[in-house]
Amino acid sequence: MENMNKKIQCIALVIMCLSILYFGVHMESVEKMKEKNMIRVSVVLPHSDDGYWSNIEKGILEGEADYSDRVDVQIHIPQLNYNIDQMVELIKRQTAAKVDAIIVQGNENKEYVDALIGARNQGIQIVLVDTDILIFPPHLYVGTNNYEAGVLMGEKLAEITGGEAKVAVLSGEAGYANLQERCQGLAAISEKYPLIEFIRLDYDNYDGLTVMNKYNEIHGENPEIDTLVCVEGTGGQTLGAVFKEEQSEYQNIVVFDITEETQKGLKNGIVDGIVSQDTNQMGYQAIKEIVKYMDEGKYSNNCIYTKTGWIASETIEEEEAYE
Amino acid sequence: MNRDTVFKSSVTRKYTIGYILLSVIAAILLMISFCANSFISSSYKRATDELLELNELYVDVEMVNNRVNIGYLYLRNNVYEDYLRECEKTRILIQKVKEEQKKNYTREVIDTVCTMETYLEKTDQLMKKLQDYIISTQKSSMEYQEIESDYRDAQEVLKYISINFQEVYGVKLVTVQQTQRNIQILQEKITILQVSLLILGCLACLYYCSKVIHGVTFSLGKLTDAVKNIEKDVYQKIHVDINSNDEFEDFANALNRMIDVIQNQMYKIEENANIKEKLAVAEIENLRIYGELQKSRLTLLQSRINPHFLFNTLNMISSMAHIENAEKSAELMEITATYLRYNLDNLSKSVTLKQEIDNVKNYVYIQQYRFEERYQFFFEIDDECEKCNIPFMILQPLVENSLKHGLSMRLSGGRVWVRVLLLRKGNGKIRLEVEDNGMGMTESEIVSMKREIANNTMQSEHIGIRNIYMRLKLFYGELVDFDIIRMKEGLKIGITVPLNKGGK
Repeated sequence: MENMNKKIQCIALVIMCLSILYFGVHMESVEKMKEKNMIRVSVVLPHSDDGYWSNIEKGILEGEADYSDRVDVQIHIPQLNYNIDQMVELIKRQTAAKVDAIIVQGNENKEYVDALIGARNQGIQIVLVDTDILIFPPHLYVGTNNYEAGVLMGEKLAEITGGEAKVAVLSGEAGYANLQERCQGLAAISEKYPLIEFIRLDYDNYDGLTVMNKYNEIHGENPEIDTLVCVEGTGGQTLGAVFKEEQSEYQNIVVFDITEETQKGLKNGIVDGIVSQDTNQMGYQAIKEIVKYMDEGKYSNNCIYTKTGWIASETIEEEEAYE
Repeated sequence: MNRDTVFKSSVTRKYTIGYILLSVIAAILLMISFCANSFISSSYKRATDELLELNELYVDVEMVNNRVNIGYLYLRNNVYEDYLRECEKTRILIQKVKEEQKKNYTREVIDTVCTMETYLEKTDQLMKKLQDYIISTQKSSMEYQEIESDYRDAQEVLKYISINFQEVYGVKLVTVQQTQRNIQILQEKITILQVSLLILGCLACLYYCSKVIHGVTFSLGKLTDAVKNIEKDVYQKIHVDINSNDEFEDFANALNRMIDVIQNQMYKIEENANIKEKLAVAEIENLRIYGELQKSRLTLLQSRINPHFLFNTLNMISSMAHIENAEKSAELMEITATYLRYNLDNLSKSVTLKQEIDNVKNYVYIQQYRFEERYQFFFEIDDECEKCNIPFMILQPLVENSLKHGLSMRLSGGRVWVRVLLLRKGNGKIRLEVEDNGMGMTESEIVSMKREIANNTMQSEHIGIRNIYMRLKLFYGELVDFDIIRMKEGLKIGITVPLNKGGK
């Protein structure tokens, strides 16, 4: 009987301990205490898309997850795509809220730059992704080396066209350094391939309707143009979604950014090749560098380039398998 | 209460442990309920308090903005003090919220309070400029433009505060909703936990109590069985084995010891009885051997006489006496021969009193021939006693002793009385007496003689008396009474024996 007493006492003690432990753990989980002195990062994305900026956002959130005890990210998107006024408003709001860092796409618009300078003057880190602002004071840029990406696109264009083509370039919007750099890199190949002739440059305003409008406009106004180059993602996405091979007015179409639509275009034969950017890494590296700056007072480098690649119809399956 | 009592388990202690177990379970349940209630109420309070606090903060900012508007729109100098007071109050509240945010961080709240700080910085700047502008005598348009720009900036930030507050409110509502859901889940889990604990506790208690009760009844059953078995057979080797570590174990041990003691005592009593029985058997055997010894002695004595030869001789002489017409001699010879025949035929036998008396009379007849009128013999015989059996040759040796030792020195007037008396009728006794009026014995001689008879150490001159006594003892056992009585004149030998016609 004495042994039995001891056993019962032990069982009672274990039950009590387990109850307290369970209760404590549960309370802890409900409490969900966050770390003090979190790095408040605000991200102002130009628009909500499905493939490019969403990948950058994904990378940012992955970075936040990896530094969850240090970083708190808030994503802000203007109601209208690439609306400078709304983005400026958002930046000013974050500035007034005295956040620790703002991640935005670069834009040469004066008000936009002024808003960023205002934030920087308050000690807020400014991290530009995808697009740099060359005139902006020392800052961090994380994104593609757009000039080199333009050169890559040119080289591949030369391969596709055999070094002879009449080219129309469809860009996003004036004032974006990244697009300008891509165009510059693309144009640089004309020295190497003189038979590649750039006929015109148009802007789609990051808008599918405008893309289609420009598509028709270019063909209508310059029927001699046989090659269309979209140096910004919206152009490729729209064409990939809308056209089949036999419907294309152009012999060759080369686009930027790998998305579901551009891949579809590539499979359909409407698109001949895609220059891909590592958008996920753009977002992730931005967060990583912000943390580093908070810890060490400096970035790894003020300009961090992410990888670019070329995807043609021959390599699409390989790329899909890789993904 | 000594050490043993404290540390030894007892039935009371076992029941007490059961009650304690119940109390502990109840305490755990109460504790869980208390903690859960505290946690739930604190969660609700925290969620709502934060919202109320932010609302208060927003109202304070509105109050500050009210002062700013009055100052800006009406250029009132006296509003500045009110503004500072409101600002101070708001800053204290902002600081409080920021401190709380260190413990319970919410991004939207932090952004909002930081925006409020920005707003206060801007309004401070604005209100200072306004003060300067009101005080200054030369009011330049540039100053006014700066004030206007600052005012716009402040209002813009106020707009952000409003947007932020709406966001915070939305977030907080979601948080409250989430908290409510979490609390609901927690309550369900706590209820399950409490019910589980209650069931487990009840089961544990039931198990424990059943064990204790079973232990008690089992012990009682064992004790009862043991007692019943002992009642049936006290010699049964029974030991009650109880290891309950309580009073029952003590009781069982005591019962075992008691059984051992009783059984040991019973064995000893039985052993003593056996020994006594053996002793009695040995004593009887001793008496038998002694009797045999006496018989052999008697045989030896009788063999000395060579009676057959004498008897034949006497018969022959008697015949001769008849032939020669010597009638008296012939009669004497016949009586003597009868006497001798009696002695020869009844050796080692019991005889009737009549036979014994007849034999005595024959002897007396012979002696009267010898001594003629010198001795007189008197017989007082109760006829009822004649058929009683007595040992052979009891009375004649006594009469012979009277003549030989008592009356031998008396030349005339010697008397011998032979009495056979029935003392009580039915289961009465017979009294045999032989009395003479001879020289008798002194008291000391009588005492000495009695001692010798009792101790079987008598000298050869008293061998007849001792022989009679021993044969009477063998015949009647302890029922015989043998007296030697000193008379005024002479001596009397008295024998009292049971009236047993068949003999022993």
